[in-house]
This record gives sequence, structure tokens and C-alpha cells, in this order.
Amino acid sequence: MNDRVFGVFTLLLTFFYIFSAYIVEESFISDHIGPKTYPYIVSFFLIASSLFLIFKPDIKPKWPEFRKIIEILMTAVILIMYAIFLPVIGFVFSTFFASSFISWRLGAKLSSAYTAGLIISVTIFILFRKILGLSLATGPFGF
Amino acid sequence: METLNFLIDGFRVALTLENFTLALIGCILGTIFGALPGLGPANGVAILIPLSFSLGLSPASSMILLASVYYGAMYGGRISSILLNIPGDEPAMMTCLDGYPMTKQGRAGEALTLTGLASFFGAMFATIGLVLLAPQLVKVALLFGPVEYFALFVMAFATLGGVASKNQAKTVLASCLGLGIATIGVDHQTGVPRMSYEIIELYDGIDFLVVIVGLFAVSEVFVFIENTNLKKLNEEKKIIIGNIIPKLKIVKKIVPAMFRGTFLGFLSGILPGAGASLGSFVAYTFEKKISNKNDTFGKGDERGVAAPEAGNNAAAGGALVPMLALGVPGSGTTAVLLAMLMTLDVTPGPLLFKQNPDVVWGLIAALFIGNIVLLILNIPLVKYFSKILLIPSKYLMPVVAMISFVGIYGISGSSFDLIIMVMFGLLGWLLRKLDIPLVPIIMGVILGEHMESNLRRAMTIHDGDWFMLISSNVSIVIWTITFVGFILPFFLRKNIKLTIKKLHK
Repeated sequence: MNDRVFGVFTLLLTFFYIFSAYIVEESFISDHIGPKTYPYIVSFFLIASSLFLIFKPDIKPKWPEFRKIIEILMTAVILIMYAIFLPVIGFVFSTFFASSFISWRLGAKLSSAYTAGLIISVTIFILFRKILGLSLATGPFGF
Repeated sequence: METLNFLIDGFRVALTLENFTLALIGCILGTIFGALPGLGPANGVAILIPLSFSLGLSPASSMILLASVYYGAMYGGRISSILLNIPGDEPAMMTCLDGYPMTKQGRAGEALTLTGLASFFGAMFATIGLVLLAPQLVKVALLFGPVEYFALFVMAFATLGGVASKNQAKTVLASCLGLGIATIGVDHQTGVPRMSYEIIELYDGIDFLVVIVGLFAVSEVFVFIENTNLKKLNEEKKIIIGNIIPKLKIVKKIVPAMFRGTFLGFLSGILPGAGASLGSFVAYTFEKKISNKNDTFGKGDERGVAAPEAGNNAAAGGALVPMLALGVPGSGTTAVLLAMLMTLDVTPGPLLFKQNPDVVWGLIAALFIGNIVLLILNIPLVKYFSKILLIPSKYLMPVVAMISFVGIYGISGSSFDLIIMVMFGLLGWLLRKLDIPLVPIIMGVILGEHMESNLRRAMTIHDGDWFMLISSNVSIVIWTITFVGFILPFFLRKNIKLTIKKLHK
């Protein structure tokens, strides 16, 4: 993927955006230009800059090998699962898994990644929940 | 005299035990954020904002904490530039050029002390400049109406790429992406939902913190994963600092360089869109032009580290001037600070000086105090900070990621926000690959609502006559600057590209 592909993508995104602005239901009391005009103005500049990218792209960026891309996507999935499971199984468990995973993918051995994950999740919990009083997800066990 | 009285009141705010402690913590954290490669000032401030909300700090206290982080990061950036030849944050890039050669000559300690002094000098003068200049700008700003404000916002975006912009189209694209994201949610003027497709979570719009922490902090994790080379992991990093006390003769030698760097840096800080990176760039190139008589630059000339460091710290202070006085930030980090103030129901701009003098003057006083603290942290204690560079990223990045999640979850308690944040993390990684700047997106998300409401107010006042946007003299001046600022990089770009190429060869 390069600038050109991204330009096409933003162009399509802009059309979707214009459509979304178009279907906004205006209320019967409105200010002079209403809620649609400004999104249209923004769209105009989006289209102009996307076209510029399509017709005059920069040199192609250096993409990592396929394996790395999969790894990055996997990390994203893990983090999304973290977001979903956080309120379900509580802060300490979910943070332990998520941070161990990141640490492992950044090159730590499995055993030290787990240790790091444990230390990170427990320390953050004590520091932010017990000392600073932030509301963290508690889950069924209260931690 | 009036200013002096305000300043004394400011010191009363800043010297309370709570605020002084916050400034101290902010300085330490800021230096760390600055020193660690990959974690810049905007990132550091963004991670801490949710924490300061959850802790229920007052606007003045939060501002003191975060501005100390901001100043601290400017100091800290130089540490890894000098020791490892890796800029800790973007403004510290120029410091590598002469800083690392000094390290190779065994003069790392000296370089750190001199840059510490230069940072102090630049930041101190910029803070004094802020005291003198901001109230004057406020007087001008009181003349501004919606028409002028709208023009000012457009100017902030048009000049955002700065003269060093690589590709103006990408800056425009990024700004508009941000502005577009800002329109999601219930329209504040008429109360109708826009772009939300009946998804309740979107009615409130997308929180700027979710976007910032996603784009900066989460995407950083992906960047690190991408760059982890499992085979090369076992290389030991070594850090030797050596003697930290420079000779008096050398200190004397860098004084003029510090003056020039400070002046140029402050100037580029005040200009919209320029920020600290440009400050250090201009300071270094200018210093090289006038002092490089024996071809010593790039080989460890002391003036070559002093000028850009004075420059970027002065620019950091300068960038606070338009943010506080006009409510229009010129750089990413000041935009984040602005957004935080707005969330706390404090509106920056001319009225801020009337309605919340404690925030403005408390902040300024805190910057003075913070500077002295930072000088102490960054010269005698610098060896402890440089130890932080030895923490391997495999343990550091999970901490950064998890603290980002904790912060965002702490405000909203919503999994939906966290998921959106991860999405923005992926987007941020992709945009970095494509060399599309992230700062305009942040500015767009933060300023979008204000920009739109000023436009619509202007149109309501003038009955929908678009030509009224260029009716007043002030607005014509602003539009002219906008136009020139946008066009200029097309002509200057080749020049600057060449200079950078020459410097890095």
C-alpha cells in the first residue's frame, strides 16, 4: 500500500462522510447555515488532498515483512480483547495477560514476560487503585 | 507594575505544598518522558491528563502538573540525543549533530551540563517573554469576534506544517481527518446527532483523549513491535558520562550562542504552527552559519549543542503565548494542554486572564519554579536519569500501554472507548508509515468544535453573507498570513530538504 491506495481510501471515506452529513435530519429551529454546511466544507478539502495524494504520491514507504504485520494485528486483537474482558475478569488478571503478551512480543523470554506482566499489573493496581484511588475495573473478585 | 502583582499572586498559588509537589513530580516525569526515545511531550501530557482528571485536581493544579511535564520533556529530550545519538523526542533531533560527537570524545558529561544550562537559559527567557507578551496579546484579542476567530483557526491549520513541512497535502488531509472526527456526535447548536448512526456511544462524540492516547501511545507499541529484531536483542548498551563540570572558558563561549538560540526559538514558538522542532532547527542552522569558521560544527562543537537546546526550550515557552492569550495553540502539545483546560470548563483566550488569573499566573510562576527544579534535576542528577535509558523496551512498553489504558478507563469506564483507542493505535501506526503527520489530526479533533461554532456564529451575525468573513481589517491580515504561510513551504521546501541532507551526511 502506498500514498495512492491511501488516497483512494480517504476519497471513499469522504464520500461516506458526505453521505452521512447529507442524511442528518435538521431540526426545525436551526442557525443560519445549519449542521450540514461545515462537514461539506471539510469534505471539500478532504477530496482535494486525497486527489493530490493520488496524482502526486511520495515515494513508497518501507513495509515490514508479512510476519510482522500479522504480529501487529495480533497485538491489536489482544488489546481489543483486553478492553472487552477488563470489566468481566477484573483488572489484575486481564492486565497480567495483556502486558505479558506485549513484553513477550518485544523479545522477552516467556518466563520473564510472565514475571514482568505480574509485576506490572500488581504494581499498577496498588499504585493507582489503592494509593491514588482511581476507579479501575474490578471484576468478580474485586481486583 | 500590575503584572508584577499578578505574578506575586501567581507565586502564592504555585508555592502551596500541593502545587509545588505536583510541579516537582511533573518535572521528574517530564524529564523521563523526554529522555525515553519514542515518548515525546505530547504523549507524556496525554497519558497524564486522564490521571489528573480522575484525581480531581483543580484547573490550576492540573495545568501546573502538565506544563511541568511539557517543560521537563524539553529538557529530557537531549539526554538520549547526546548519549545514544537517538533523539528522545523530535525537538531534540538537532542536538544529536554535535552532542553525539562530544560523547564519542568522552565529553558526554560536559555536553549534558552545557545543554542543561542552555535549556534553562532558553526556558527562563521564554517564560519572561510569556509574562511580557501575553497580556499585550490579550488586549489585541479582545477586539476579535467570531469572524476573526474562525480565520485564526484556519491560520493555525494552514501554517501547521510549518516551513519544514514535507508534504502540504498530507498536512491538509490529516487536519481534515481530525476536523471530520470532531463533527461526530450531537451538534451543539441544533441538538441533532451527526455521523453517529444510532450508536449511543457516539452521541457524545469521540473523546479527544481516546484519539490522542491511541494515536501516540498505543501506536508506539506497534512501532516497537515492528522494530523488534529478535536476533539483535542482546547488545549491551553502555553509558559513560564522565566529568560534568565544563571549563569556564567553554561556558563563556556558548553564551552568545544561547542568546541567539533563545531569540530565534522564542520567535518560532510564538508563530502558529511552528513549535519546538522548528525552533531548534532554526537555532542550529543559524548558529552554524555564523559560528562555523573553523569547520568544527558536526564534530562536537559546544555551540552546536547549546543553540538548538536553548532554541527548543525557548520555543516551548513561546508556544504557550498564543495558546493562553488567544486560545489558539500552535503546536501539538499546547493543543493538548488547551483541550485539558477546556474540559475543566476553563476557556483559554483573552477572558482567561480576567476570569481565572490563578490559572494563568499560577502556571507562569510554576514554570519559573519548575525551571529551577529542572536545572537541578538535569545537571547534578543527570546520571540517574540517563540510567532510565538502560531499561529495555520489552519491559517499558507494556507499562506505557497499560498506563494509557488505565487512564482512559479511569475517566469513562467504558470498554467501547478502549476499543476505539486501539483502532486509533492501528491507524496511527499506518499513518506514521505513510508519513502523514499525527499532530494535525489531534489539533483537528480538539479545535474542530470551536472552529465550527465560530463560523456558524459569524454566519448568524452576518445573515449568511460569506463575504463578511473577509470584512474587517484584522481578518484580512489573518487570511493573508494564512495564505502566505500555506504557500511558502512549496518554495522553501527544497532549500530546507537540502540543508537537512547536508547536516545528516
